[in-house]
Amino acid sequence: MGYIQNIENSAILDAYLTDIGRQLMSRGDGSFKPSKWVPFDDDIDYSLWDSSTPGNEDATILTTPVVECITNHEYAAKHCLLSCDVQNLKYLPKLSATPSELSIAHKFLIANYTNFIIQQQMLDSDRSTIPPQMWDPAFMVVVCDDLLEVNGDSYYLSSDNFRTYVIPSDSNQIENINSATILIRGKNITPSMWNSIGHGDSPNRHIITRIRIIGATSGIKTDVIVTILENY
Amino acid sequence: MFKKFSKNDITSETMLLYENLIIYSNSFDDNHTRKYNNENYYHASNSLGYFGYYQTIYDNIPSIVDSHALCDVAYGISTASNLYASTTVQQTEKNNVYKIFASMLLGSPNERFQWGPHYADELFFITFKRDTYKNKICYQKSALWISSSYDNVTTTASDFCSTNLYKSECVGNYGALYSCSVGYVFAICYYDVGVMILPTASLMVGSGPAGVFSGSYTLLDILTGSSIDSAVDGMRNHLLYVNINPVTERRITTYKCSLPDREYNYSSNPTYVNNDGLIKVVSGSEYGPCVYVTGIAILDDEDNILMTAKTKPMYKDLNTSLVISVKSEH
Repeated sequence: MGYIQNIENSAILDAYLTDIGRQLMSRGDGSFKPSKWVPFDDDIDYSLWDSSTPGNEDATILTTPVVECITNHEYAAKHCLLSCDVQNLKYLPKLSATPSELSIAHKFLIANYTNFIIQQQMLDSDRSTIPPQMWDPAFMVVVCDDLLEVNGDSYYLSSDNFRTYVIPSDSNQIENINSATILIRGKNITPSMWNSIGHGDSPNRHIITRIRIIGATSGIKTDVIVTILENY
Repeated sequence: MFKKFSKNDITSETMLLYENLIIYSNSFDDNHTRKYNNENYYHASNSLGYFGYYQTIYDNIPSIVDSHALCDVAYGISTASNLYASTTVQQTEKNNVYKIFASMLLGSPNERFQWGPHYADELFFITFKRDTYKNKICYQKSALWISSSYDNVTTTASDFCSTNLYKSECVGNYGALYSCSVGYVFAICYYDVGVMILPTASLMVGSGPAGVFSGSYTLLDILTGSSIDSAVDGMRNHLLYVNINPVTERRITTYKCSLPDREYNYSSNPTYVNNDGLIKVVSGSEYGPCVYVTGIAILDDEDNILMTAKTKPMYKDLNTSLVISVKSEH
């Protein structure tokens, strides 16, 4: 582990290059340019917080093992920490998708766009306003590139074939709700793909895939489960 | 979410890492040596007389997978040597070896190695491998033990007490391994290129008749009437101990990441909130969020994560500021 010393409120840590960091550094053309940073808490399970033991609520969290740095840049830092001018928030904005699950015939999905709505809002009793620093001007939509495409700007294709699209939030916002409409369409699924990843018996198989939506500023996530039906 | 580095947040420094490497006499025996034929191909029989120009010394039996080459040993002679005319075997090859090292270490194949007023025209060359001497050999930390071919007396030479560090125009720093008991230079070490040269005079300490140097031959017989292979065989038999301190230069860049008390007190971790978005983790009687930092990601302007560093969970709340220094070594 890159941990060298950790004295009260300071620490000295060893950095490890990610795959893309190593690739950029090996080019030797100055394309390796660290410019910004963000702290993360990937190994923390906050559900282990035990409020029934005052003064010792985090005993389990602090003694839980931490894994080594992940060098695959796509998984190197999943849960980033957030800043907010409002210092005593009881709630964080939530992302929700409507519908949160879709079940669509493959033929229909290829021929037509299907839409779902993403909403970011505070779910406290007052439905208070989203703090400006957590308001997402856009949403990152990650889909399996073999199965689905999104009507929007493609931003990135990962090595394991997940494509990220950037969808701006709607310009006409309802009060205290930040929303966006996502349009998805199916791609042609070959018989061999049905054979390899389809569930059930031909010709009534189905494929389950997950669409992940991430707030571009807040980093808050939600998933939409899509079931593609072979023969309807 | 991201925070830009300011100019003062990124600092660089060079750190030197010193090691101590000792090669004992057993590493110079036949079992740890790889010999080559006259076309410089390794010959598995390892037998004498294959007329290679050098031999390679290993830290283990060379055919074992995890053995590492430590150094090459060669012998060369200058045309200015008194022994040159009487050299009957591999005369040209021995001179070529001398010229190659003269060219590399002195800047010209026609130069002669010299220490003080004395020329060194018959030399053994020990070329340390990069993995052995790393970036360079540390000055004033090298030592040799050699047994003489005359009466097998062991002489110790080192650069420990030498105050003279010389700088060559061709290959950087070099210095002498001096024997206080004998009173002259036994070897010259070129620290930056990892080469040690030993005049044959180093093997002639003592008195009495010339002893056996290699096989049943004296040093003079070997130098004139035998191959480079045989000369190196004899040299290996008389090397008892070689001590160098390899130096590794490390360039360290430190990225200072400051988390003030009012920043980074919330998390996008899905376990941080319940289904309604209510924060599960609060500190103190006054409602205030807290988080546990387990790492820092460093990115470029294209949002590529270039490096990460991890730590044990570090508590952070409204009353806590953290300073995390992330060190990157190249």
